[in-house]
Amino acid sequence: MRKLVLCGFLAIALLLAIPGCPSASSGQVFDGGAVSIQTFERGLWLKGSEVTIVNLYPGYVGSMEFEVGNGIQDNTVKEVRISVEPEDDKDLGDGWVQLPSQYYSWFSIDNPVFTLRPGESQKVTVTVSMPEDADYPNKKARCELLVMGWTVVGTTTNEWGDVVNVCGNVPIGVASEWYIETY
Amino acid sequence: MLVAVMAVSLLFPVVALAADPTVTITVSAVVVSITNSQDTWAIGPVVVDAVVYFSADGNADVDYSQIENTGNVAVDVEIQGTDADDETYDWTLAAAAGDKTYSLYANSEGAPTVYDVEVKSSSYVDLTTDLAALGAYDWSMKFTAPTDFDAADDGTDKTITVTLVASQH
Repeated sequence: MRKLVLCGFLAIALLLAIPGCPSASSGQVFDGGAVSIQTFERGLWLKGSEVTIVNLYPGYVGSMEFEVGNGIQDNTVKEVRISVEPEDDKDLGDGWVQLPSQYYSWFSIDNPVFTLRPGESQKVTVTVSMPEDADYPNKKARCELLVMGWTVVGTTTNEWGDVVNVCGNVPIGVASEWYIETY
Repeated sequence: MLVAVMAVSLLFPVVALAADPTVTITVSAVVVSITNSQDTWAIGPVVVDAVVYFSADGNADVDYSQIENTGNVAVDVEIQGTDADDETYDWTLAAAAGDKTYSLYANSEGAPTVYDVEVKSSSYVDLTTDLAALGAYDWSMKFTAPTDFDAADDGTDKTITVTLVASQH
């Protein structure tokens, strides 16, 4: 009976259309920064779908460059968020393991959150820095660089007075799969 | 003078240091790129046991949204959901709807009336694999509301995020 009453009177508003974008730390509308125009016409794209790092040793510091773009024909603004995440392939490959999450700090992304207007792209540099005291020799480990694109459908002002993007709730992402062999 | 040089050599003996290995980093030039035609799903108000489909009117429409591979390599596309969150009274995403628990399924292409891909919050699951460059994949989702929930949920907005991620096949 209680359920019937609930059915009759409860209406839960699942307003999924207007969650705030996940850039909660600053929540600001990002000005694209040093972006360029590319010719990829559609979709969220990532140049650098696969990375291999061989002989990574304690004390090594280096960098690698990717490029992320937003297709011009989609006519949508994307808020882009980039992070290093576990590789989600069920089959990692013979001898390969997930890179333990405590080692994600070896990788720093120079510009992990930005906004791309239609047709814009941006280069992203990831610095690899294996600490001198790292103890992870002779391993074959995998992780991925995850680039999420949230379609901006508007802006609003949050409780702190910042203008924040309002995004759709079905974002798309593209991933770069990393294969790391330590020395 | 010779004595002085020898003395310095003894104080600073030459030590052969092991050379660091050569690190090789290779970043492919391959472009992974996808689109999804529907980037927002407004489910709207629901009651217990309600079933709502990812479509313009909430009814079943398996071809509502289309993923296109706009890159230059075949990709696998995975899907992940979240709990329905309002920061106070969450509904958990699970395989079957229950008390304060909802379910979410996507359809696999070729089975237009069967929503057989369980969307999970704990991990990504395959939505489609080996989607060729320039290929397209039509898809939809089926949401089933909890079989019961608290009166405190009345009128509250909840947020669900459904994420699609493509990676090189």
